[in-house]
Amino acid sequence: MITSAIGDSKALQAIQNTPVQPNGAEMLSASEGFEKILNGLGANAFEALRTGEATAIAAIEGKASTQQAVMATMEAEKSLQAALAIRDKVVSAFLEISRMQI
Amino acid sequence: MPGIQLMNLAVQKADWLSVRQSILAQNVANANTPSYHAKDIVPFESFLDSAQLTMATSNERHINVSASALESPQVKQDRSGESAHSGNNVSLENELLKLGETNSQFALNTGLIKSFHRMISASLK
Amino acid sequence: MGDALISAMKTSASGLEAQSMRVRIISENLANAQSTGSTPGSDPFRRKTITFGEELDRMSGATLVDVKSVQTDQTPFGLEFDPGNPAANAAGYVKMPNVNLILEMADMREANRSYESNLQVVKQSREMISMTIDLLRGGN
Repeated sequence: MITSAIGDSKALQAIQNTPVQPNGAEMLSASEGFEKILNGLGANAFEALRTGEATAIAAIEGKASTQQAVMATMEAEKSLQAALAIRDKVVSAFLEISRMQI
Repeated sequence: MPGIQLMNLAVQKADWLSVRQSILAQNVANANTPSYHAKDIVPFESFLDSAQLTMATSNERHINVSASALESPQVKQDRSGESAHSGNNVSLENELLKLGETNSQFALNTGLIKSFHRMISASLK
Repeated sequence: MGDALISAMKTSASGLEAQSMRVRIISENLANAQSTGSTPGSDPFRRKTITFGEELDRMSGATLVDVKSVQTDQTPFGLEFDPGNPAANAAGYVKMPNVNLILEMADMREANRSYESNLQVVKQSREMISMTIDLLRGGN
């Protein structure tokens, strides 16, 4: 179990990039987009979120249809949920491991 | 903070839509008022442009200029369309159509705010 | 921008009131379409008209509509030959109300339509306010 968690290099990157701090908000700098938080959560989530945000903005400006905005937003939400679920599992595995190192 | 551009835009859209609603309400209420001409507000893009202008000239330290501090969208009169003998040119069909548009745009806008707020909250945990 | 949606509701409410008054006036005209006088040569019922106007509500800044005046229609009365009528003049003619049933019915339909439209604006504005408040609920 330990091997499978650390063996995935992408997950390792995620651990290294994710700040394990109680208040995640403090770690964010004032930049727009979802980039800083989702660094390492996977290209899929990142893309879906960027597209979702862009489509939503376009719809508000009258340049995209309601249909498009709703679909893009739902995609973004799904991708984010999946990515967060993975991140949470990885973080808890890491915490378990760190508890074992004495 | 992620999604802030979207949120700010959505808040401005909500304000624009609300003002439009109040102007359309005036048109409907005055559908039989002599000499009354139907009114509308400037399109959202124009409102945004003038809003950017106001933000640019205000204090740079204020990152978040609240929407209510900005000027209201301009109201313009529509002198087109047929006028009744009384000088009134309100067409209820047109106004009801615009009201329908306003309502559905507002619903979409609010829905997007809800979804993205949810996503931002979830990703901050 | 104040609360534009509240203004919208105030405006529409004033529209509802105004149209209600209009319906009342039209109903009176319809009910009295045949009301002639009671003494020989006397005048019958005279048609009423209603005029609306814009009004600024100082407190909220909303533009409302209200009844500016109720007036009587000065169109001259028509004559009908009806010697048995108490209002008949020496020649047997009775002055009839200057109410045109067809016109009044059309006006009534329009007044109802306007009323319904104002009602729709009230409902819609309320819905918009509701949607906004709803953001506070279950947005997490």
